[in-house]
Amino acid sequence: MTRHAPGGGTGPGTGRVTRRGLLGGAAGAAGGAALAAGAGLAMARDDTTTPDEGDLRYSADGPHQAGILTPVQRHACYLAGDVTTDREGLRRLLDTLTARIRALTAGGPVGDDGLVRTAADNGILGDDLPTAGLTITVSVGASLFDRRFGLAPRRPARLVPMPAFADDALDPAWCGGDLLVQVCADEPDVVVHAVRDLLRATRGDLQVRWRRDGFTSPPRPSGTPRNLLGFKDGTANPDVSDDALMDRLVWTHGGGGEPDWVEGGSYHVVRLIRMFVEFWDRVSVREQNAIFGRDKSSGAPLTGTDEFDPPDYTGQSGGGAIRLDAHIRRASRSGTAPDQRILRRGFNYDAGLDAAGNLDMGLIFTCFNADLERQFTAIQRRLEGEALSDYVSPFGGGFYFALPGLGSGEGGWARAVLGT
Amino acid sequence: MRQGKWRVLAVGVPSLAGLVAGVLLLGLGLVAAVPAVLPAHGASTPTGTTATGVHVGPADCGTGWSDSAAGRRDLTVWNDGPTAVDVYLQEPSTGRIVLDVESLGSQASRTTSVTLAAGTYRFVCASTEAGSVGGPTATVSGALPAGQHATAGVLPITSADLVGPVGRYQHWVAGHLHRLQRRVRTLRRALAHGDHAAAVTAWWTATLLYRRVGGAYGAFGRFDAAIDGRPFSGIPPPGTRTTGLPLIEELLVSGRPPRSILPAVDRLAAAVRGLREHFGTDLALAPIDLGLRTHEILEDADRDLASGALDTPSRLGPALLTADLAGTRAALAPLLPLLRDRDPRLGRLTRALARLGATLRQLRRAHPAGVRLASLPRAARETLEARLDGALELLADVAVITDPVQPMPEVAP
Repeated sequence: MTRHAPGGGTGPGTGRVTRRGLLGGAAGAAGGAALAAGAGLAMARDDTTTPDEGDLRYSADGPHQAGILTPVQRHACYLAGDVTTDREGLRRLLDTLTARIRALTAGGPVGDDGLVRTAADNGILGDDLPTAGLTITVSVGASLFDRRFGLAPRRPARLVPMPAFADDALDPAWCGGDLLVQVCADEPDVVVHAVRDLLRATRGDLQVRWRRDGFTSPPRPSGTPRNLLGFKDGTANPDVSDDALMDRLVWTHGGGGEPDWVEGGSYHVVRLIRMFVEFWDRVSVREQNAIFGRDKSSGAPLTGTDEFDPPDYTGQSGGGAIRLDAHIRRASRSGTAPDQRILRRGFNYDAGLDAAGNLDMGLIFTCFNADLERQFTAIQRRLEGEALSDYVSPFGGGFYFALPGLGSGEGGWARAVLGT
Repeated sequence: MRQGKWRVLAVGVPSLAGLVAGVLLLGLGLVAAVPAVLPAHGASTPTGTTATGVHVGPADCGTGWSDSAAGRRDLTVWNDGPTAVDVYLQEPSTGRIVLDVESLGSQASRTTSVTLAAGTYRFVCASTEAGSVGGPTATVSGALPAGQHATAGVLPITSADLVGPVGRYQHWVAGHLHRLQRRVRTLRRALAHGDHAAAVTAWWTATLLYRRVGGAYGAFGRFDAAIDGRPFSGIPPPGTRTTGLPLIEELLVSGRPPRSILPAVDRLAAAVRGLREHFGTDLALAPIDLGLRTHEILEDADRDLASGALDTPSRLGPALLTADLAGTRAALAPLLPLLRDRDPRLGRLTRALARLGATLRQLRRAHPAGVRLASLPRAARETLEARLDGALELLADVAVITDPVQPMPEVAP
């Protein structure tokens, strides 16, 4: 199953969408006898070549990282880590991440290991790596710019530790981290393979602080995928194929207080939000609809008929169909500040049970924006005290800065972050 | 039987089967003995690498191996002999091997990817019946295609090469067991005199001595269970109980009258005596064990760190880890002469062990009275884990490099 970049094109940051052929380039040039013998080998490998057909690949190179505008994949793993080395070690860490991300997102045959090392690849995808839409997005946290690495002057201007908002119950063990690695793919084994590969390659220089896995659901029955409260989530996302819009809403630019190196990056917000689903399931759908301001079944605003009908927020005094404390009314931009919009890219999580035996599930809220204060934080402050806050509890996550794309400058991420 | 195998494989792709068979037979000049998966020498695979098929039975070792161009290839080796073989591809001029396929059963074939730089290479096929047999040499010529790197080969190590290092390590262990025996006597005396403080010191020293010989635990047999019996802390398997040094720790910490601990010490002393009598004779390390244990000591430590098993009542975690590191160095030391021209990351390993040692010294200075590792601040805990993990990744290479292979036969003049 091949999916294409938004608008059918190659939007900035989404990378190329490619399809790996059944036969590699070199085989095509070979003579008849060689081809036949090659087919002899393929005969024994039929089962490995077949899944290649339609394997979805996103390039890791470009002005922006993949995994931001990229259509959301089915599975994700979020890893927040602390850097456990010195400045030179950090350079090595960023170079290693770069090399592994390029190799993993390219897919193809694993390298041979020789006789002086254990196997570099963990083997869970076999010898010919599929990509399954794999993207690996690396972001930095505010703590990376403390005194340890001498990076304070290079901190992206708007990057601060995530504050506790009014309805939050933040657990420090689930917050922050020097680096955030967001691994997404359409197959769970491809995500796990990449996670193990990345952590092994960086072992000694990076310790994982927290990890959470997520998934997105297919449309049920159509439109935007549903979250674990049963509501369609992300309906009002901006159009990622509009380059000018993305330049305003998503990508950061050097100058105006920002260091030059942030050009092409994005502020990356992750909020781990527990949903009290047992409680929620005991709430009438009428009340649930009122809490969101949308119809649970269709996703339509209560003032409309179809999911993508624009909500009507007139009747501010309470006379309108959408309550004053409804989620979508609180979250929606006021007409005067269109640049407040954020690009949401969340995943559901389902992590077993809590200590009391309740289902531990919720949302890995994820969004990208060009300016935390102007966009995410402004919206989040409006959400304080919303009706939904009784049924959910943000307990972790953080503010991060998604680094510029790998193809965006000489010296790569190490030069960008370290400056030398 | 061989043709039956061929037919089964061919059924799936009938339109290709005839053509493939023809090419394979031409390429090897053999008719009856070719499995369908054994490709002609120099054939191109779907991934653009070269496919080469080679016979590796004792009677036809290296048949199919011929001159070729440098680059990446898929080597399919087929054991058409009657018993299992270990197969190597060797560069006789240097002695290095670039391929190591072990325990290839009779009639089995295996495909491995290998990238060969210019040079002369031959197959070596080793079996219990025929010993090591060298095949014909063939020349690989030309430069590697752009972007390809030659497979990292290694000078093979045989069991004979490991006899000296294992002997030196066992000698070191035996010395520790002797010191351990003396400490247990000191412990007994202290308890008999009711001197609790001296007993704790003697117990501590004995514990660290025993921990340091961890590389040899596997060779201690039943004695290890009597000296260091520490049941799983969850649901212990039946028959397991706390014995030896951990039991004495519990008894010392619980404030029992010193004399009441004597029976446990006598049982410990008997076990240590028994171990000293048997170690190095009927209890001994196999050649492969030394390389394995150089990384397994700290693998165990890593697991103990995660499970909380290092957080003993005496809060000796950092000291136990320091003993593990000393034990690792002791197992590594006799291997160093072999590793110097074989392990390309030996310098990094040396630095990683030094950094782990520095982190442990720092911890012990900061907590002279011991500390529960689980209670360390996050940054300290992360640093400790990172140093341990960093060393483990490099120690794993040692086990790979010192895994002994069969002796290589002389090259025919």
